[in-house]
Amino acid sequence: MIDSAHSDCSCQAHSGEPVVCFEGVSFSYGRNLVIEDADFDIYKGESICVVGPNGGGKSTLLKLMLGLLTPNQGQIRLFGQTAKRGRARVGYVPQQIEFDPLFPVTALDVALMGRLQRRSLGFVNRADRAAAFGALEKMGLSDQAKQPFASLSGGQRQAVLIARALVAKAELLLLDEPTAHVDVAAEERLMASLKALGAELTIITVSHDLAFVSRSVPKVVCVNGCVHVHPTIELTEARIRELYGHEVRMVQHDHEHLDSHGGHHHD
Amino acid sequence: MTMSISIVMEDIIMTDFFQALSDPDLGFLRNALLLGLIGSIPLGAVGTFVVARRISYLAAAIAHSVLGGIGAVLYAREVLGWTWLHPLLGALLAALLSAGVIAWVSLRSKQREDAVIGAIWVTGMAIGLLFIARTPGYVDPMAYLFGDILLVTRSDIWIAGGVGAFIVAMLLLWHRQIIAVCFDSEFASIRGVHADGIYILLLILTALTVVTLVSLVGIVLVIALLTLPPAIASLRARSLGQMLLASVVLTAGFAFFGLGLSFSLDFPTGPSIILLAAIVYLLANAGHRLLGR
Repeated sequence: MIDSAHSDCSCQAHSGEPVVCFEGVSFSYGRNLVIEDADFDIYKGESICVVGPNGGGKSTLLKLMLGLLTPNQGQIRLFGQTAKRGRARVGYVPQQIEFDPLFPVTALDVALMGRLQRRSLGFVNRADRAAAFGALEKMGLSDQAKQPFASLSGGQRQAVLIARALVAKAELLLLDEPTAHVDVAAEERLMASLKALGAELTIITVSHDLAFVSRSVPKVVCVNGCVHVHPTIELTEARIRELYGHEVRMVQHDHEHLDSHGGHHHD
Repeated sequence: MTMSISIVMEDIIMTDFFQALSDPDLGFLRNALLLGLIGSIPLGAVGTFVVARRISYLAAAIAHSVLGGIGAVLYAREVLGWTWLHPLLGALLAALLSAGVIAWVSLRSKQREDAVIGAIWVTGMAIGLLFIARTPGYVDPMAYLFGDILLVTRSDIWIAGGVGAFIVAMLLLWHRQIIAVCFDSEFASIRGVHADGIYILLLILTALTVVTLVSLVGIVLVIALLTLPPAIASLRARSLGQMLLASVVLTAGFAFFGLGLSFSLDFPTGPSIILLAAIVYLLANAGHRLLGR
């Protein structure tokens, strides 16, 4: 088990209120304690990966952030508000595997879902349509807008889901395993698109791909019951062994990729 | 050659049917056709969401449970003298109760959803058959299972039209939220949509469609027209809007041509419409496989 690290707001080289603030948060499913005393902050413009073994609590952490689960102890603040209020400013990108491949919607229909609000009744208006087209364009998908979502490649679907999140004017993007079902080239196009969105956006990504993590973000949230936030550079082999409880091999892709600062280099 | 024979046959059959429709003595045929055309709108619209959300079995359970409510009302009318009770009210209560239990099970309970749906299906039918057995006089349960679209009256058509208009109005208002919840309920919740409430709304609209049409055309025809046309439409539709429009047109087409065939060939109407829809469904699937997407 990894110790919980308390990263006090005042200790960070950041100004202003944190985008995400966990204060002594514990959560359990029945008697099964999944998150224990999580205490960390994430600030505007940060790009962070959540890593940890299966069943370690990564998805639970994400659901707590989104207000889909309520902590047993402690409190969670999103943009200084409760998770349920603050989540209107969050763009959530779930795993693709959760979608019915036969559900008849176009890429544009999916992007339009990002414009939905509690009181959205009747048909979409011109502004909704323009915003959805704009977000698809930003993700390089303007030609695929009228294509059925199911007919798109894994990488394109992921980009549509990100467009759906962006259309909601998201200030915080939460991505659950974005590279799980896409090839390496698509993964890198995806990361390039995300980096092009600008430094204003805070991005939290859940990932199993430690090679991707090590070259994509400067900071990681390690989750295995307890939650520990530290720079990616400290994610050494010994640390990974401690986190996962066994050896984990990092597979490096032998081609050009993006480093943590958005530049390019070769393996 | 075969094609020209079928065109000639179709010509003779449909000419007969068209003549019969203008016959003043065959008003029942016009009523049946009118109900088929009006009913195709709620059936095609709600059926699209039922098929897209993969809850056809759930709609079938609601349809069968309706028999419990109808049987209880028939018993109360005859034995308790509650003649003010209309079988439609019993059907509505049974359908809403079933939809409520299914919604609770799928959203809150840890029970197996498919097993509970099966239990509601058979329990509703058993209750209905028991009440009908204890009701004095002869009531044929087959009339409720298969119905008879040829016995439809003008007031039935008004009721079906009214309920259909209400269902369409609700879908026009809430369709964006229903689509979002059916596609990804978690994301819809994050956007502030009451996902559970929207799912319950979809079940209520399904129950209303089923109730309105079950007492007129029978349980089996309602299930067939709720599922087969949208299933056919889904083979080529790119969006839910396309699927919905195609489903309504197909449902109206099956009602029209099924009625025409049953009249000309002297077949029972309900089974004729169902078989026509089923044959087109099989052919559409085969064509889709052969020609590819």
